[in-house]
Amino acid sequence: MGPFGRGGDLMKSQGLLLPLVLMLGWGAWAWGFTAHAPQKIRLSGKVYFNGQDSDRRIRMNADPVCMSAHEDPVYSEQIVSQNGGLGNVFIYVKEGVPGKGTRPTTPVELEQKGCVFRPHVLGVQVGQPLLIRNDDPTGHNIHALARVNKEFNFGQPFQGLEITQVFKKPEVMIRIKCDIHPWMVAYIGVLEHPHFAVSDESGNFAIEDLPAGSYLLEAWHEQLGVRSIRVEVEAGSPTTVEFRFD
Amino acid sequence: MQRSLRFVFFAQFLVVLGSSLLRAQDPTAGMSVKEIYEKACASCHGIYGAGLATDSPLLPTFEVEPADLTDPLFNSREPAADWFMVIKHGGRPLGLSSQMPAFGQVFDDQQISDLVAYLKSLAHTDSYPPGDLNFLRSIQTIKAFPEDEALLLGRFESDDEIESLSTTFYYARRVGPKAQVEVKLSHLARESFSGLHEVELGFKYALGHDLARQALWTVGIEAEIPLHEREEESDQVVPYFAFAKGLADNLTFQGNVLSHLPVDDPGQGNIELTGVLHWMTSPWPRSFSPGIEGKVGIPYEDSQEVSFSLLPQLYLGLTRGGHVALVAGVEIPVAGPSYDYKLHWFLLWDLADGSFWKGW
Repeated sequence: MGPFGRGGDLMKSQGLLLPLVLMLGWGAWAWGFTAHAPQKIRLSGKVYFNGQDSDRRIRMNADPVCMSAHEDPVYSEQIVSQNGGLGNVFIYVKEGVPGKGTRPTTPVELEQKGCVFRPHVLGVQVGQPLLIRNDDPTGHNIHALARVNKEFNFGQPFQGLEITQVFKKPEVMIRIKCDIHPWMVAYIGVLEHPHFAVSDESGNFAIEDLPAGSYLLEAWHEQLGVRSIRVEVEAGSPTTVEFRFD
Repeated sequence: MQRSLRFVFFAQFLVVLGSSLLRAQDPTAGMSVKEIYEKACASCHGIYGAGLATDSPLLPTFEVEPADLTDPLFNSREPAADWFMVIKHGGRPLGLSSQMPAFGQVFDDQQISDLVAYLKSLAHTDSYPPGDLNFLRSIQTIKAFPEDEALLLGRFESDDEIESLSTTFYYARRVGPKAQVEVKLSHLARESFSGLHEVELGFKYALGHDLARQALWTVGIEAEIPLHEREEESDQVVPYFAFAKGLADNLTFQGNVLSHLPVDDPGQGNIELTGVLHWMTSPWPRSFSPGIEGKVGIPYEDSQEVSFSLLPQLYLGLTRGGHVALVAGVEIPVAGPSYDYKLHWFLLWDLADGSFWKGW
């Protein structure tokens, strides 16, 4: 009989000893990891605005194809406001994020549809692909007026053409325009980490999976400027913040 | 028999299906180059290449008005290779407006070449020498191509007893399709003298060209008028024949035959043969191109020596568009009157391509 008695002899004979040791070891590691892993918090909030929706109508008479793509008038997206909130605000963690995070390989998409960029404001991580597609039966060009990253300008003269770009450095914000259709504008925030969001028409936003810590949050709007808030995020405690633009 | 027929029909179906799928992936499949131009270029350059209408809503949005491709002077003076680079890489890398997009990811090199050929056909340029024959300027060989240029030239000479520094301002302006007028003003500084030394007036005319053979030939005449020691120095007339020949995509040759004819005594003049070989190391204008130049001077007076010198030099494009360049070289005597060496340099500004400060 071996040193572990009949039970030990049984396990050895059935080839169960090694798998059992591995399971116990993995369980101990998992318990230790989860006990000490940083908890991820949801940070949500609203951007308040006491102004009015933009009433500047976009005139697309430079291109009849663009005009024919819309039955209803198209208005500028500079100020988008419903329910006292402000949309198209880029909210991001400016300071306090430890490390850079992993680089996602899933592309973020920027579409040209009806001679308008969709979405108007978006975020992407450093090294993450940005897929830009022309969904219009007319030509566009994508002119990124980057100042930290390399400026680029690519023609997309045909419907269905796609191009993928990657930004190598953080930059808030990069203005994207179409030189053929000057009303077409979008803004891209490039960050090292994934902790950013764009507010909806009512000003609501949420940043997921933020570790507990102390952060400086910044809210950027293309016309109304920038607002900043310091926030303490505690483990197990979802946090809400407010920004106000007049 | 029936089985083999079914196989043939199935194979034909596969061929048709496969080619249809391929065409679906290429948006330019079946399009003429004219149609490609209308889709990709006409929005900014106009349906006929003449640019935007004066009442176009796009016009105020452009930093630089899109080029009029139907202007024969503009169309002819631009090398096809330069247009190829702009279409493929966009305006900004070539020192042009950043609003000119890059199409290198949409069209392959052959399509871009075909498009350039179409753009070149938009103007009547038969009377104009083509810009493809506009080769690099060298230190001593007269350039065959008529130009709009300004140069600041310098020459430092050293021999046993004398050192001198000559500084020259040169300005050339095109006149009509084929001609050019020019003026030079030189300053000389040496131990015994410092002041304006000489003024030179010149006229050049492009006689003909053969684009297929990459050849251009030109005649011209210069009048050199000394401004000091006029009792000792004679006015000179300098007629010349200049030619240019492309030897390969990145190798060019230019040569001159000219004669210095002192007005007071033409017999004291000479015949001069110069030639320069340039090797372009890159299709990008902001690059360096080494050259080797040779000059032979044969005096009419038998008692005087035949001179031969070599002048290795380096041409450096300074701006993204290459319209500002620096050239420097050393002239080394091989035969004839001896001197230690002559250092040559010049700073060139191609006036037709815009501001001196553009595209750095």
